[in-house]
Amino acid sequence: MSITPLKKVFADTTGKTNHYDEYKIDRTDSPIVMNLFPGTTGQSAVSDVIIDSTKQGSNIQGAIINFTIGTGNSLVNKFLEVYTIITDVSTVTNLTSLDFSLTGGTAPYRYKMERTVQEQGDSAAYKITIFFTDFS
Amino acid sequence: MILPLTKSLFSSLTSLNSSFMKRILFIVAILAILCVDVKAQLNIDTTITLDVLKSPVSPAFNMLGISTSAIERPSDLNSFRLSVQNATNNLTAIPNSYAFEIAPFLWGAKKYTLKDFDSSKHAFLQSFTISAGFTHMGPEGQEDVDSLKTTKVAIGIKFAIIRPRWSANTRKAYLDLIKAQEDLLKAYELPNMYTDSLEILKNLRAALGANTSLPNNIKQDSSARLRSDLQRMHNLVDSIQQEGLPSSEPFQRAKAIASAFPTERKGVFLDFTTGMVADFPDNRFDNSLINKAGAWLTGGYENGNKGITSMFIVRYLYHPEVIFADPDGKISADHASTFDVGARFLLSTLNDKFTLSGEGLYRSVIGNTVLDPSWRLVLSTEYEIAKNRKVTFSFGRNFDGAISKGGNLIAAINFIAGFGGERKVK
Repeated sequence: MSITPLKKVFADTTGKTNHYDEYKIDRTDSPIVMNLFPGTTGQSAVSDVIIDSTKQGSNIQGAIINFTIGTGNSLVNKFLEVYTIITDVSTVTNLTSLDFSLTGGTAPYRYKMERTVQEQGDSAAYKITIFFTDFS
Repeated sequence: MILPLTKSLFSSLTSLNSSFMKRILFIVAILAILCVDVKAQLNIDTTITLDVLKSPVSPAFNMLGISTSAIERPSDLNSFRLSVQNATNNLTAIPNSYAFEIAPFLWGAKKYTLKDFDSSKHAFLQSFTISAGFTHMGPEGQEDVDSLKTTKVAIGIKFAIIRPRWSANTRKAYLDLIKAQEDLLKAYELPNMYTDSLEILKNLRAALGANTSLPNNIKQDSSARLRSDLQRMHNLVDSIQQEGLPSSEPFQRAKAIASAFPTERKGVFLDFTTGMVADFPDNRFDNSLINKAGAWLTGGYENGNKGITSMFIVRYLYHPEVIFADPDGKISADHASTFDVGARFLLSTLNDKFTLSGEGLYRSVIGNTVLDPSWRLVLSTEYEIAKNRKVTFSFGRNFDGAISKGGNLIAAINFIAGFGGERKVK
């Protein structure tokens, strides 16, 4: 299945906290760059970024901005796993959210998820898994 | 008054031992001395009045006279849209009044997580608040008389120029929270079976992509099936991984910290607030006049739990409700512009035993010859010589130029209270 950028840019907001997908890249030296914006405003977040069981980033606090996870050549047929814990600190809302995006492949990719926790101080655990392929 | 009391005390206490007698004599003597100074002290007004210059929480609404309970505070664009729809009965009617307060820079795609609030870097965008509103009603008591209704529109802006960082207490709470989240993340990433399964499926997926003997359509069908299997496995594993998390120790630890997270700041701060009200007397938008306006610049040093220890305020008001420099109402507030400045500081050293505090206020009416600018200054010191025993000194200059000084009033009160018990009187 090819990824339609527009569809992904306006991806449905879901109540679920995990997401699996494939991301088409070319075997080139172009960098594949990841952005991750945990939310909503005022919540506390910690994330791990893993490529094929090897941690590329550990216990990253807050947003992950312009994080180069590798090149097209180095990432083909590998899994990217991003684990994030978001704790509800904001007294304004119990909503937590995750805005994930990738660039550097054949098209930009974006996916958003959100979950409202039951009580003030509760945490939500998010997981995103992406398989980098040069075939789709 | 003191002497007869002293004599009667002497006569009734002759049976007590000499050391106790000496103590009583000392106390009585101190009280007699203190009472002389009380009169002088009473001339100094030590009431802190800097509060009168403080900027309002919502400048637009204070000027417009809209109660704070009627203000809409949407947290995103959707809720703002809903708020407008509700107020206008789905865009079919204009309400008599409507007011909102928004933080537009918090509405963007970029979300500020908790750690972004521990710096001055994002202070402007995070604190920038717009308040706006309008009213379409008659004067007080005749609000619903159509012929008397006029439209007033108000807008206000607030933002921080310099914002202090978190206090040590808040930073410790944050680090404790991060530790709990890290432990929770570690627990979430277990069990390992997911990684092992991914390895098997990855090899299958890679082999499929590399297979050149299969027709492309079959490869695409197989790829779609494999992706579907992976999505199912992903959901299944995630539900297993999530299952025990809410009852885990790190989850509960994070919850305990997050639900009572203290937000204290310590350091230099500088805030700006401004607002204005435009009046449309004949309800025509091409005929308006500035009804009221004001600007506040507030700065100082915030000291975490101990509150603000130093502060200054510069205030400009156009057509104020009350002219601070003219409490007797000698001049009309219509079209009057006032400029007021105030500063307060509190210095506490030697384990809070020595305290030096002061406050100064300057007030003036711009372009006015009836009232001269005037100023007021109060300085006071306190030194705690023992528990519940304080020596104080105050110096003050009132707006009328009268200078007074005094001290030991607090000591007298404390002395009397301390004599009866250990309760500290402030």
